[in-house]
Amino acid sequence: MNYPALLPALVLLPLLLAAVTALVPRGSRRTAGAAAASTTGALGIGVVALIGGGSWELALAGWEAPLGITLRADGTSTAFLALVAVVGTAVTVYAAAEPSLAGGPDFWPLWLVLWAGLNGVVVAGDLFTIYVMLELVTIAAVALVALGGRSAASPALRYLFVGVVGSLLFLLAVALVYAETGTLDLPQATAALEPGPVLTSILALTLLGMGTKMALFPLHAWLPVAHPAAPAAVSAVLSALVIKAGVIVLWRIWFGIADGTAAVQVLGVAAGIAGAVAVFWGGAMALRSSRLKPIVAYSTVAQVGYFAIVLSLADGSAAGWSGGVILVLAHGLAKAAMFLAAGTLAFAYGTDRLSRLHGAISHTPMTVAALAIAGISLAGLPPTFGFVAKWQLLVATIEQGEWWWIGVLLLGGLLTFGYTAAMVRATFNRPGDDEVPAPYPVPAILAVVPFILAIASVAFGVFSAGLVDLLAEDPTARGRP
Amino acid sequence: MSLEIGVFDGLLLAGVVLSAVVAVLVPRRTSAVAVFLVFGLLLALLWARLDAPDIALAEAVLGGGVTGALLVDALASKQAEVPRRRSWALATGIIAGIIAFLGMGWVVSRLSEPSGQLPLLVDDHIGGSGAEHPVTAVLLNFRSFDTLLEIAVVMTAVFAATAVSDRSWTRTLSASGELRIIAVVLLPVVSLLAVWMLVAGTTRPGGAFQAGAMVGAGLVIAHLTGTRRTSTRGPWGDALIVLGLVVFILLAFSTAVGGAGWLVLGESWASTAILAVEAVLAVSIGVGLARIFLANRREPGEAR
Repeated sequence: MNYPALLPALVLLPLLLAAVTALVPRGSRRTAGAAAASTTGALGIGVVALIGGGSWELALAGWEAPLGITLRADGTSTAFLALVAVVGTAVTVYAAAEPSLAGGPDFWPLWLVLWAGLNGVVVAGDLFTIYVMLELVTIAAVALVALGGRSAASPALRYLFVGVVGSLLFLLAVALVYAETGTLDLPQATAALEPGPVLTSILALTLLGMGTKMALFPLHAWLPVAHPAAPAAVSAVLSALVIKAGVIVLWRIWFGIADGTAAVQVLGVAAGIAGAVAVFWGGAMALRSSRLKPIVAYSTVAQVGYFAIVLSLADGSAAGWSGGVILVLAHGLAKAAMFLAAGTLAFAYGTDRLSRLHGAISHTPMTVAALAIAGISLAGLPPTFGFVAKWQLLVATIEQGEWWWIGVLLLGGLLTFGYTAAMVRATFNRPGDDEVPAPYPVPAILAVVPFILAIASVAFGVFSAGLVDLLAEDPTARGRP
Repeated sequence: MSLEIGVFDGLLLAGVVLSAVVAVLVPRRTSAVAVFLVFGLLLALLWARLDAPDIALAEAVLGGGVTGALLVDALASKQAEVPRRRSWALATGIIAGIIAFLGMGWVVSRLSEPSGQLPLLVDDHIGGSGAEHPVTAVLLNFRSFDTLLEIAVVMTAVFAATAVSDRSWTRTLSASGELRIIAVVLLPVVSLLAVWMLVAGTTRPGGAFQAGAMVGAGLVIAHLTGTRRTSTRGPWGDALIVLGLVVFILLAFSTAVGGAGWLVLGESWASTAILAVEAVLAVSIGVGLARIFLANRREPGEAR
């Protein structure tokens, strides 16, 4: 059997299922949608298992690049596909358990389209295909935010404008690549591009476009509005996965074509500074917030800063590259756990104000535990997955001799620890709580799903040595010539 | 590729840039929409001058037609005037625009000469592709996967517009006699244009997207003039909207399982397959565009 032929199915199966699910009457769409999404998750897990540590390539429609389109899956693609499959399945279970936390029957077709786009972004080997996949992701994500009800309309519209501007900037970069090299295939374009102003502009436009989509400071203002406005299941997907699509595209193009010229180095330093400011700004704003979902959203703004710093750290350093990718995975698991747990608490108490959550720790201890464990992984304390990522990045700072990043990494971790503690402390019992009317009872599944994700963000840390080696072999993690 | 820039082209170019700037800066909404429509028209002409008739057609029907209809419709809904723009935001925008314009101009002037290899490759292989027009060959054969994804984007946009609507889909419109005459005159013309654009697409400019826009325009006219059974709201509309993508994906799966590989079209049946796929795509795009237009539309006098 020719296994790489499975790659297009990662995109086309969920798209087909989305179309079919849209025809199912609204009353029974939850069952159909959950079945379709579970199938997509199973396909993802299956493909990840088959790829293993290898890399796949497939030319579509019988035409080799540059005439046709090629799909590619390497170690990084595999790791991200696994993350999408795990978080996607968890979110599917969560959304199927309580429709009000997913935004109703309209959620399912849009979620399947989003899943197709997320799978597609990491297996696309062609720049224009990447652009269309990002469009798919953006349009579906905006519509999912709008499911948050009337109050979500304005954040969704803002998200749409920002997302489309990011797409257009990236499209301009793609157009420059095509005009300069005559090909849209990423490896071919990489080989053909010469250092010069065109190359620098391509990198700058990609950095701006993807910086907008991943909410890199100072282009982040839409995120703390859009992510909390969405239904809980959607917020988790947005923070854990959608942001990462932009990150992966930025990294692939940056590490594919960046050269050592002064202009490119200035861009890298600018991205690093923006990242460092994001770590502090996001952390500080999270500490100042008095509601659960905005805290988690600002925490994402802070974590995105690290992804920009990776542009400096992973430059020719295998440890930096594997640290970056593992940070994507660790943040994905932990942030999905956090947003789902926050959604469960908001569901039980009818609000996500910290001042109203006291007593939650005895009402639904598992949800609070998920919040705490996910926070510890985000902060990068051992033995979590987040620690493995931060450790690799520390090794990279020392390899590169850029020790000042250590301060950013450690202070960011402290801030994360601070706002996690603030969230957990708000759930403690207060004297006299016995007379407070009991909150809405929480279905067990709404507490179990975030808890499992949080446990996963610890467990993967213990067994991650093989993953670190696998990622370090990726072609993207090459040094500069 | 050398371009002779004459007086007409210069004026056209200046007109496009000027109308774009005016459309953004003019404070009144009605004027902004009017200038935007002019901008769309000039842009279509510019594409035609650049020997890109496919893009010119698409810009005329989608950029001018569909977007214009949506904007004019939005104008009709009475809402509070936009708040006054702050002057510093305006100044920042103008300065950033000028810098971006000059910067892009400089970068474009530094591009290498195009090698022209890819167009040659297209010419070499167009014989077995099932389409005589290079744009159609690229869209429906060489890069058919991207086209499939674009159809998925259109479908998702329709889902999105439907999801934010209030689903009051049961109304039927009653039309006056004059409106009926409009329908009787316009609908045959629009249908004919749609079919022509579809069939023409295999040999010359045209294709599923342009034909789909025509279908959409026809459906909107039919609905507004009260023609029966033309509502794109409801389950039949849903089915037609997803039809194009479903057919395209089923074709992809059948070529992967029973054929030579994903989306590989055999030389003997490629032209039939391309025309069939384009036909269903045109229907889906048309119904989808009409749904986007109608999903959130309030009839005159209806409370929001």
